[in-house]
Amino acid sequence: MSSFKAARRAVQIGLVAAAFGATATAPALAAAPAPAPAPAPGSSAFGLTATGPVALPPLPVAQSLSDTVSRSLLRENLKVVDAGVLNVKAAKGYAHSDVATLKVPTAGLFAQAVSATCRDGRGVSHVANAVVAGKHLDVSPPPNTTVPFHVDGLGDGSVVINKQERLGDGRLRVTALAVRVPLGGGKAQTILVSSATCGKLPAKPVTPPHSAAPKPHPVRGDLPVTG
Amino acid sequence: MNQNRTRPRARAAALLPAAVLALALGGCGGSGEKGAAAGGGPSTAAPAPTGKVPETTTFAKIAQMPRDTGATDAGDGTVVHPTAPRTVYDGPGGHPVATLPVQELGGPTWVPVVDRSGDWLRVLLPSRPNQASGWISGGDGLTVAHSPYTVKVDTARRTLTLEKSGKGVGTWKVAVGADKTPTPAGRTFVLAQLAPAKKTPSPLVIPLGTHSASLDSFGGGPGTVAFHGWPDASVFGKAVSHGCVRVPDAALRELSRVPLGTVVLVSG
Repeated sequence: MSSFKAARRAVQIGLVAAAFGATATAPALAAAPAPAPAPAPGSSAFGLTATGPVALPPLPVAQSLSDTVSRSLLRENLKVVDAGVLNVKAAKGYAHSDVATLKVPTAGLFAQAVSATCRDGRGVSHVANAVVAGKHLDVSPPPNTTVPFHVDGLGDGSVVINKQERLGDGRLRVTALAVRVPLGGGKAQTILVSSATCGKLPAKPVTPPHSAAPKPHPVRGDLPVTG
Repeated sequence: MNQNRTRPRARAAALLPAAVLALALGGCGGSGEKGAAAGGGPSTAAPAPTGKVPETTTFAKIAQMPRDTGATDAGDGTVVHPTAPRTVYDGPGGHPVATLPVQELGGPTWVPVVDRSGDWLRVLLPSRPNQASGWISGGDGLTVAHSPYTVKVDTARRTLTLEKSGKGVGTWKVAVGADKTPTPAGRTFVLAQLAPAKKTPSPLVIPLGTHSASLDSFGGGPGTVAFHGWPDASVFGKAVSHGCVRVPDAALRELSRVPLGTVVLVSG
């Protein structure tokens, strides 16, 4: 039996013993999911990706350095995660991703809609009608809100909501949901849902302010001019 | 070409005011002796340090100098001062046509920037023909500053308006060039400030970067047009000068604060 089947069964038999209500703002928890794939230059967004025993490259992906690029995917259904419509959009200084009807059964995670938006280096996430192991989530939680949960026989997992990371180049990556699903034996499956990356728009070039021209001082002298 | 020559009509015109102006400015048609001219130089183009191109001064005539664009705006107020003689080109990266000296008429050279192309700056220049301009490279050896002032002369209304940062400082009735010796229209700039030895008719003379179009020379000078005062207020509002703009004392006081290189727009 695969680890996923075991995990699903664990949830089905009600073993999601959650340590709900405990939230943290520190993004670098021991149980934090693996980092998201390195985003392409400029603005980018993806709807869903998974790393671990089940690997799913980011889908769909929009990337742009200037004009708006949009991509959509009707449905992505894996054993570990099921997502309805996935829409992504990227433009200069802007990225957005939204995913409808999300299910991660092993984590007891369900959401009617999930979205992440990055604009000019600032990010925000929304989760609508979302439940993790029976606990309802805030629509717009603070950045890096972590909800831990436990799956009997498999271990501890976590959901980081509104995960926000500042990349080395100064851009911001905001991911609506970063889920770490325990698989037992210390293994885990990571699922990232609705991620958007963007940077600040470059400041308009400003002509360096010149100093004031000096006050003139008359020179002693004559010049015959056209009086 | 002999820059010293005076056209016949100009010679006649010059004789009459000379008696009055001899009191006077040492300029503005006055008796200014050539040797006493500030920064006085020959009225032919002086050779540049390289010996290849002439200096652009109020005494020079440089035929190959590009003319101003014909624009009638004051630009963005940028003025530049070369800290060393600077070559003037006929276009960005073009042919050298002149040298911009460090000093004009004994004071620091400041010229307005009226156009840009990459690192190149198009500046107005003080030599003949009128509307002379040229391109200099930006960067080292150039002090860049900003003048908030614009001077506007309306020869039809015979007014001078001084603006600072787009707001009016004042408008005054002035005397402008007579019909046969009009104040030349176009875009020019404040070239210098001179304090003549004789304080009448004006304690301050402000030569511009333009010349009379009808007088090749005047009173021994190169026909440079200037702002200056005038003791007889009855001339204000009239077209009676040989090209200069005679202004009331209040206007002269305000103009004394206007930085060198500031754009002057003459219309009418």
